[in-house]
Amino acid sequence: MLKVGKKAPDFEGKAYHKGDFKDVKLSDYEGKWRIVCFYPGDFTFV
Amino acid sequence: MSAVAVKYDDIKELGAEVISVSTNSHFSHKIWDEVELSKMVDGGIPYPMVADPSGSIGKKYGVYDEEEGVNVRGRFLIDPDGVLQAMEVLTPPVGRNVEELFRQLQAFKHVRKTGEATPSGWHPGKATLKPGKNLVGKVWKEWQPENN
Repeated sequence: MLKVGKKAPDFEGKAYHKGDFKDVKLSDYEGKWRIVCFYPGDFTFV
Repeated sequence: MSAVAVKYDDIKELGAEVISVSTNSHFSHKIWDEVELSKMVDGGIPYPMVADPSGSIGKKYGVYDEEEGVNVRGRFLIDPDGVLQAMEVLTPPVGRNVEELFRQLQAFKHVRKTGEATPSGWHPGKATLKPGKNLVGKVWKEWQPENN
């Protein structure tokens, strides 16, 4: 169960980033503030 | 996605990184960025767009909709220690407010640095509260909703 004030679950996945494909892991950015945004799908309108 | 991208320089300046996630493949992310998003945002999306085809990342964050097979709209603010500080989850038709996300990032950073608390609607430069025994029952002296 996800709760504020508790550790956010780590994850990793294949990513597209500025022209390249790479593996991205949340914990790669340890020591920084991070904003993770989920959205329903590419080519949707909002 | 493009709204966050437009604000990205400001977010980056506060030392934060953005990661977006949907159930589309990284190939799809590439095409979407090339044919559409790069026409809304100079240079295209500046942050990594992660593929979550099985919804396994979405499941960890409670945003995966099994029936539709997609992740609903959710944004999560995580501090440098990896602790989740804020989250917002919406059904798909309504977009998020990036300004509010930015305000929260500023407020959480301020709190982390100073140990103070930021009242409702706080923006940098506005009054903060210093929690402690002297403040109990006396918040009204320090802060009134109509003055802030």
